[in-house]
Amino acid sequence: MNFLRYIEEILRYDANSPMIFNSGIFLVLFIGFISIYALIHKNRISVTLFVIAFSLLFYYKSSGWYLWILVFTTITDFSFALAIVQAKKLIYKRIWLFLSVGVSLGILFYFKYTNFFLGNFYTIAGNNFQPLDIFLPIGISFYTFQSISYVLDVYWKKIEPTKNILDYAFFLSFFPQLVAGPIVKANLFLPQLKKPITIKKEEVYAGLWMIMVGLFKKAVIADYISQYNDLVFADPTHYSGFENLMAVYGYTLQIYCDFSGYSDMAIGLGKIMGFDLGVNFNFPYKALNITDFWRRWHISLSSWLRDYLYIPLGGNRKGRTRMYINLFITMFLGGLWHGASWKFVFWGAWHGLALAIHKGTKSLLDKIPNKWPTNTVSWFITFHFVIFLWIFFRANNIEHQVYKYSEQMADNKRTESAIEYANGVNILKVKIFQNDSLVNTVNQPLGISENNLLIRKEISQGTETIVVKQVEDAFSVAVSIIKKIGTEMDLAFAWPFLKVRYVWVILLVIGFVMHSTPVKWNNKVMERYIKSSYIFKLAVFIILVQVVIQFKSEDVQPFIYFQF
Amino acid sequence: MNIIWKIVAMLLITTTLLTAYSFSDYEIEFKGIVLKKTPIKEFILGIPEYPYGKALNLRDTLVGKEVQQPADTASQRILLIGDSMLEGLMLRLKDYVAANGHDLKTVIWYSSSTLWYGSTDTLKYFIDEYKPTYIMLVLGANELFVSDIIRKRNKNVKHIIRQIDTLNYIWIGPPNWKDDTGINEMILKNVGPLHYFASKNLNYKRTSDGAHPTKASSAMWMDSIAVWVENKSYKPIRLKKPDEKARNSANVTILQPLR
Repeated sequence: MNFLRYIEEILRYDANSPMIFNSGIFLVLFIGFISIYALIHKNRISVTLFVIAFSLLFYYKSSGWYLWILVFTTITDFSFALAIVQAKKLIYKRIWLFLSVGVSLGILFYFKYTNFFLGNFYTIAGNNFQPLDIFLPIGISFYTFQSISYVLDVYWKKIEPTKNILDYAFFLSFFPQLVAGPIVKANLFLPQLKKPITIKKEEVYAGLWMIMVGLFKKAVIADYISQYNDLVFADPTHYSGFENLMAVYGYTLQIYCDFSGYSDMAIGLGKIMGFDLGVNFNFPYKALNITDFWRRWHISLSSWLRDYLYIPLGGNRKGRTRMYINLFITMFLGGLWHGASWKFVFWGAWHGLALAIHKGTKSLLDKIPNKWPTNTVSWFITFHFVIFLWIFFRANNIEHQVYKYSEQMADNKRTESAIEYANGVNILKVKIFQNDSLVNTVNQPLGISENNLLIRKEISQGTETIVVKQVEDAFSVAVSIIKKIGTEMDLAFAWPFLKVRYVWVILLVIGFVMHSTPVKWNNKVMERYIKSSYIFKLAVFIILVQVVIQFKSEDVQPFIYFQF
Repeated sequence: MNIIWKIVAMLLITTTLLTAYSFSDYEIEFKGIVLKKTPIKEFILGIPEYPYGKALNLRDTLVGKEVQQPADTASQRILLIGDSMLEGLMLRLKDYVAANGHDLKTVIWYSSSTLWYGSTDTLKYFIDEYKPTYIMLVLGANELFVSDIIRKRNKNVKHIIRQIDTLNYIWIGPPNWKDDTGINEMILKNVGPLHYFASKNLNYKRTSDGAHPTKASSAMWMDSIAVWVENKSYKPIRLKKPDEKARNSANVTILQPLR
């Protein structure tokens, strides 16, 4: 009976803790998975069916029954791709392509952008908007882009469509990259399904090494340093300029370690199973210019945007002005891909502008001698430009409590509350009804003239509490961080900061040192590990797992890119 | 041996070691750092991490196994820190401090809660600054009626304990004016009975706000705490009842409430 409870517990979907690679449940499931995989990996049909089944389970553990959307996308895009090939006339090919991309983007739009666009529409119309309760299925942005790339490649005759829906399901649902990328292109992955799976010792240990590095980056560095970053970004005005600056550097490392760490684990898992998922990060903070940065950061997304958006828009083939506009549009939409919020649009638009400026001035910049002093300046400017924009990327709306009103709710009482604006002041009006008759009205001037107020209600122990909150929008929060850094940079905070948060500082330094070491060194360390004895490998693995447990915070930090 | 089986073996050995360590009563310590355990034991035995909604059985808790230590008669550097409830306690504690040769530093963070102390390093900051040998934490009164409190606050309470558990401390619970939704039980579960003074068991005269004990009532509250500290707490310190009022003023830091 207990055994069934364990199975139920392991297989159950928990909306509060979607499965991620550094969870204990994944470790347990993966041991079972890889054991069976070892037994059947030479039998292609068995492997295909088994990996698809496990991938669907993995997705169910992440997003529950939204897994049917993944199944639907798989079936429709597979069918549309075949229809494109079989259509005799170009117009029919185009219709099938339009339908395929339309359905994929339509689903993505509904789940990700409905509230965003409705909210903006209502704001323009001057009405209040109550967001719809729409769940964002995890990874939908990733697998939708992957599916679109397949259909477009088929339409452009870059690849032959697969005739086997199981192969396509395997490609789209492959669990290592399903929920957070890399966005693997069909022309890289599908040919691998046609060959026998070869599992080489060096590749497996390289995969293990990548998993360990990724685990350290995600579960130790990113999750630990995020705790301080979250405090500051939740209320930057209560921290000094120095502390704000540290949080900004901290977030810069956090987002890199979080995302690249998860990618490393995905790529490593793929390697252990005998599949190549490509490269997703190449030490992006070493970039000497913004173009270089985007060749190193989230490579699978930037190359997707280049191949399926920038080039179809005309790329650099229609003159310089069009090239700049195309770059801007690409990054503008790339920003929107990251989230349904103007802050992501702002972030993407500035990157687009910077890319256009860099392209425009490239002939001038190329004349600057390629020496270490100039390279240092280039690196410094690029790095801090990226950091500057991360502030806008990370900042969220903050709600400050303005007023609180409590009312006992016994004897058929109910309240109606609203904020009314009169004579330059907002007034909270609470109407108290008993048995549907108005028994009392409270008029509380709030002493605030801005219209960024909202009401939240909480009922507990028979008491209703009406809380009026003032909302500071994400953009203002980002600006206040920048102001704090610019105007209240008191280095007197540095020593106490170091004394109290020395573990945070040590991890920050380790993170940036890991990122700064030459690629050659990283490869050498990996090669040493691959060639080391099994006992040594085991010891390193056990030590790493214990380090992860030591640093694990009470709440497992959600993976940043799950929101995208 | 197939290379994948070697990976399977690696995962199995690691999981077995973690499971064995989770089940053992022994804790591995390395240079003062105790190796943490995974909750595998709790998962396998079906023990919920926090017995929410159940009667508390202190024998189940690790901290409940602690044994009272001998009394420390040395003079102490006492840090009295917490929410506004400590104002009344402070006035009487000053007398105790003067009579028993201790030193007192008081930090009041108005309207504070386990959420605030449990999501900031404020406590650690004052510990580093004042270097107390004894901490009296007065916290919980602003969270008596928070619904689903264990889910919302347990991690904050743990964060607080992590900052003080290497020191001698007591947690003075809130002087309830109504039944709470679980804050007392949750703190007790986390710190154990030798560290927790359940103020809710006393009767108080309240000020006009209906919540804070009056000055006289707070003095009696402090007297009760002092008796408990000397006789029932984890590591008793000397807190003999003073014969007269202290004249020196307290060393107080007041923190502004969060907006």
